[in-house]
Amino acid sequence: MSAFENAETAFVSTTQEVDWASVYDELLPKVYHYFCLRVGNRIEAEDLAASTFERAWRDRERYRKDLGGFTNWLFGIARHVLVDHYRKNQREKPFSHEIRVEESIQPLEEEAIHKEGFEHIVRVLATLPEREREIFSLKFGAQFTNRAIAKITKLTESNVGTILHRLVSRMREQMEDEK
Amino acid sequence: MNDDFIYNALPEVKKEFADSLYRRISNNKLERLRRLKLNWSRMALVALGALLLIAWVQFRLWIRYVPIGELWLVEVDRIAQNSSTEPASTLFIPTPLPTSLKNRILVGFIPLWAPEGFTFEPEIAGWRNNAQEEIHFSFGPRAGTMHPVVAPGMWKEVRVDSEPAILIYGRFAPANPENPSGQREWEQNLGLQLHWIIGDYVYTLETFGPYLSEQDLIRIAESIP
Repeated sequence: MSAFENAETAFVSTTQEVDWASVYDELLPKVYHYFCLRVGNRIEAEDLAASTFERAWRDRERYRKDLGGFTNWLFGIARHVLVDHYRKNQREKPFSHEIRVEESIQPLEEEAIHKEGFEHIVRVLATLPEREREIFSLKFGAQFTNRAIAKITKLTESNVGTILHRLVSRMREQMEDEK
Repeated sequence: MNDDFIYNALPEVKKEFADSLYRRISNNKLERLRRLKLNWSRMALVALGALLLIAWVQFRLWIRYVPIGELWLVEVDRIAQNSSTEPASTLFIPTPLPTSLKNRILVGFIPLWAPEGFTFEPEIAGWRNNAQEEIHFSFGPRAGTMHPVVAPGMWKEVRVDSEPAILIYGRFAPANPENPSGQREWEQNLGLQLHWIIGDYVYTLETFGPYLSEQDLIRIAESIP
């Protein structure tokens, strides 16, 4: 039996009945997509997602249900992991925190459409300021509500909605132009 | 706001990546240790418990407490090297009393029978013969529990007036003048000791050489009125 399968019974008292198997299945794609949109590179996104889950698993006893939902806690870790990643890259490769479109790998035909769309989004995101990239990634990667994003970014909910609307419209237009 | 094109463009999580990460976290050996709750403080407690157990076993191998009736005998395998802490032949040492007081107190307590040739001498609280061989008698309240200290096997349980008593063969040899702090050995031939309890008093009879049989010592003890 794996640790995640065992987690629910093993950590009832410490993590207040967190179902780790479900957490993993449900939140891994969100964390991964959040990092994909933040760093624009699937390999780096995998590394960062792995770091996030490893750190969450290591620190699981610190999670307190009364202080907020588990998703918020996990994404708090994810954002710390991202900051560490930027800091490390800043030392090793200055300016590397800028979003980078991953090098083209010969994709399968089935993946090609996805890849093209993703690269397009990343190219648009690369032109955006940090705050808007974060809002976009939280919305479409982490799938947070506008209210949750407003709380994290300390903007008003309507402000977040306006920014997102503008970003999505811009992306759609650019995609249609490219077609 | 139609944003499906964004979700559709997001890359899927590779199954190999998801599975390998799942395995990596699940097989983390450190995590397994944490699941066993073996943190440092707990391990220190276990180590301390083990040390205490070892010390206790070692102590039990050196010293054994043997209950005999209401008395406790202490069997000691090893004797302390330091002469200042060396064990006495008995931990119970009656306080010396002035002779006049002894005469009065001992009346009614002293045994009535003594072996032939021995006469009662109040100054030694016992009997002496012409060869200056002595039999010492002492008693005291039993409130101060007595623990005669004996070398292994140098004792046996006997009866005085049907009550349990301890008969000890010999005593610790006197300290060696050339090595006063050295270990003192048990000398089996240095007389007999008899300890017993009657009522609220603990009694002791002692000899200091092989001049009296254990039967005679018990007979003296049983002659207390």
